[in-house]
Amino acid sequence: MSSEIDARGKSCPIPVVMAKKETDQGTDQFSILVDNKTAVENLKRFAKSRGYEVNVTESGADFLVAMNQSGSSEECQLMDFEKSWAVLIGRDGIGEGDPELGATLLKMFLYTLCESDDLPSYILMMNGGVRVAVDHEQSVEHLQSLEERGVSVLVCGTCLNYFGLQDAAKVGTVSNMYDIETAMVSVDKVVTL
Amino acid sequence: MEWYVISFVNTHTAISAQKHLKESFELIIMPTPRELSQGCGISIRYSAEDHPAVAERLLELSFDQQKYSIHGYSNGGYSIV
Repeated sequence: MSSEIDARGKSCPIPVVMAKKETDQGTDQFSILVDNKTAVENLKRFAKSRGYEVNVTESGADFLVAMNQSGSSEECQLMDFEKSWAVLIGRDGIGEGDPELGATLLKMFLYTLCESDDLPSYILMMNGGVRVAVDHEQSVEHLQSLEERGVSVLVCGTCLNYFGLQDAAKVGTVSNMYDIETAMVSVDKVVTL
Repeated sequence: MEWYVISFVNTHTAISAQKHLKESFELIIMPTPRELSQGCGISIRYSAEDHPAVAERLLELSFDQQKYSIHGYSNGGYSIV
């Protein structure tokens, strides 16, 4: 059975969450109607991680993303290797010890991520991590290029507000705990830096 | 050359050089490329255009020349300068 889901007007991770609901139920053929290219890219990545084939057709300002599961054993194996993931940046550097070294390591991590083909579905920034989206010049550039490649960068709005940085984020979508939690549970693993 | 990379024998020299050079140049901090086996894990990348000025600045800053090396990148590979 093929069903069509209308996800137009839904904020960032929701179309993927709706798709996940279908795949979790074992639906092998369904379509999702979305209204932006980021959602299309997110759905493509999600489909690949679940061993579904994707066909995108444009209709006016909307995109119909058709997902089909071929069901071959080879595709099933692929699922195990290509798991979806997210990165949680909870401070403006990696690890504890020395803040300057931590900031340098974070730049190097984001540089390496930009060079990689295996991209996370989400980069989530909370607490001191939101500063990375504000004033870490090199990191902002890397995050912008990851965003252009379809990674959703969600920046905690509460945290920006706490630090008095409401309008200062240079990259990403200012987001809330609902969207961040939804993103976390929609992927196979969350890597915390 | 398409760009240049400075590798360092230790992380303290790398961080100190980064701090000084970023005042005058646009830098990208990156992991030391795998093909450059020597050195610590932190490297600094900068544009070909800035190369003469960066090399001169490192000398002015009196960094021990034994503690860093500069590599040019072109045609998919690095060669020491």
